[in-house]
Amino acid sequence: MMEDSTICHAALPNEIWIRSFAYLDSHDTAIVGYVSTKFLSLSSADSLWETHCRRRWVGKQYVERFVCKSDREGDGREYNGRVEYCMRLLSHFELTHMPPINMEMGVLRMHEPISWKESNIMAEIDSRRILMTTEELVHFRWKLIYDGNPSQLGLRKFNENGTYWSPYMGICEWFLGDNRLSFAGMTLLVERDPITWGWVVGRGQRTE
Amino acid sequence: MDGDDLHGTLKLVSKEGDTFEVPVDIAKLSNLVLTTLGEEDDGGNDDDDDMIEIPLPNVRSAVLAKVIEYCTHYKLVEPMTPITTPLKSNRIEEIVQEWYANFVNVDQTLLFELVTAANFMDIKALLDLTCLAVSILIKGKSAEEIRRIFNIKNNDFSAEEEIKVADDPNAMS
Repeated sequence: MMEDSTICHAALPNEIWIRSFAYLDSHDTAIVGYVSTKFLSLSSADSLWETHCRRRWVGKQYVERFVCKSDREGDGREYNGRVEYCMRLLSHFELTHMPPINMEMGVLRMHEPISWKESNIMAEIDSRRILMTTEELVHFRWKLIYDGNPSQLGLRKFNENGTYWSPYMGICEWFLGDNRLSFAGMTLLVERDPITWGWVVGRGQRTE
Repeated sequence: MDGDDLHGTLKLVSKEGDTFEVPVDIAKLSNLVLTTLGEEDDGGNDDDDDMIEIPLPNVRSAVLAKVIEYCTHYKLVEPMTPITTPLKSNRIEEIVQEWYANFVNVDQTLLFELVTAANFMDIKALLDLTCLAVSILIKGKSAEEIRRIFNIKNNDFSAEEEIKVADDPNAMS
């Protein structure tokens, strides 16, 4: 009787399993990977995870993405940049309230092109990060809101060399540490919007 | 010349050799049938007396009867509502119409035979429904439960790999 069922399980063609897994969300698809080595390989199909990844990024255009090999162009230089970026993010883990990470999970195998599944795992990890990196602060343009009104000066930037131009105080320095941003005589707490994953600096001030 | 064929019937022959007479329009939900009909036309077989016979050597009669029941309902009563992902519900009757939900409310062996037949006969709508039924068996279950459902042996996975379950952020989302 047991053998019958085993035959049954083996009898379904691989593409049928993958087609069935396509109805699952990323959580259930990840669980399927722990059923057996065969299911791990089938449930890791790029076709499944590309869908999950793309869905995951809807409405989150201001967040750095972990792109899959098929998304990159040219000689891969851009991709290498992403890997370095991921490495830097990972180095922040111990400072955040992250669950323990098994480094064999694929995260450190990023010298090779990553799969869509790995891309999704990193996005998942990054979504839990509560610490903003200096790179992000410099990369983004910021909309400042004073007392609920957007600044008339448009989007602002924090320069890579650590300076910020204030209309009232001229060029001043900014400093990011312990998830607090200090500039122009203020110190504001950095928070993360749970829905858009965007960063919010101080109450009522956010990236746009 | 083709017109008669389109509205006529053809014969599907099961593994056991049983013959099922099916209207061509209904049978053509199967891409296998469609392709076979195309080949017959190319052959220029003008013998009107011979109804086209398509052998399905790996589909049991009981399964073929279900497949034909599905195609007939799909064609003559109502097509199945397209399945949208991600699934909104764990209950198949909330995803497709009641008739289709009842259709796949069968034991696992028959379900697997139906998927295999849908795959072999290349009937997309039936493949969608049967794969949905398989995924509903998996949805929301733990790895151990999935192993039990499909009777998959655990021992091809090392204990070390098991530990990763606890570490996988996907698994905790």
